[in-house]
Amino acid sequence: MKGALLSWQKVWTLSQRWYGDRMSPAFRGRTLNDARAIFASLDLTDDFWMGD
Amino acid sequence: MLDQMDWDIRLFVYRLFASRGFPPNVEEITRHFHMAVPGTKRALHRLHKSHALFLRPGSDDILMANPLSAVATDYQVSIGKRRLYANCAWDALGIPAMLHADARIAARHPLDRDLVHFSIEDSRLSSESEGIVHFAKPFRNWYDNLIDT
Repeated sequence: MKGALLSWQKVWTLSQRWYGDRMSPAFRGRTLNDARAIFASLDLTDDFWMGD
Repeated sequence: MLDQMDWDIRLFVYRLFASRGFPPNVEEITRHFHMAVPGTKRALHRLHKSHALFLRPGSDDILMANPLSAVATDYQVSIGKRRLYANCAWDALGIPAMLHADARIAARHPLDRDLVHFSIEDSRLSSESEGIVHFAKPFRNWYDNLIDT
């Protein structure tokens, strides 16, 4: 199967890091580097997550 | 480039959307910010272009403010008495993550159409069964067509 497979537990942790600040008045979006830092914090470092 | 008013509109959209389960329309936003309708529409399209929210194609109506969906989907999230819809499996967890709230999630499996139930309590996920989430597209392609993603 093409793509990436994650456990629900991992997706929950990813969700918390990705969406945890979404309602903050200070939220100003996320840069590519911000996104990659979140992925890297969960060891999502292959081309699927980090590729240009 | 988004200005402070654009970000204020975005936050208003998110707060109302999360509190009642559907987003504000152009008239509600216009009234709240004491704007003119054309200015509201331009702001929404700037927010859409910046991926801060997503409009229904060919309209000024908000379709998604990720993780929230304006239409019913296979991913229903209950927080207290509120019923919210997520755009995908990830967004179904994104809603309680965003709201820092306990939640019950009913997700319909895309292949066999069975319902799978999850809950978030005190920031802990529990589920009735093991399972995996499939991300079909690599990150670099997510915003090519977010509806399709």
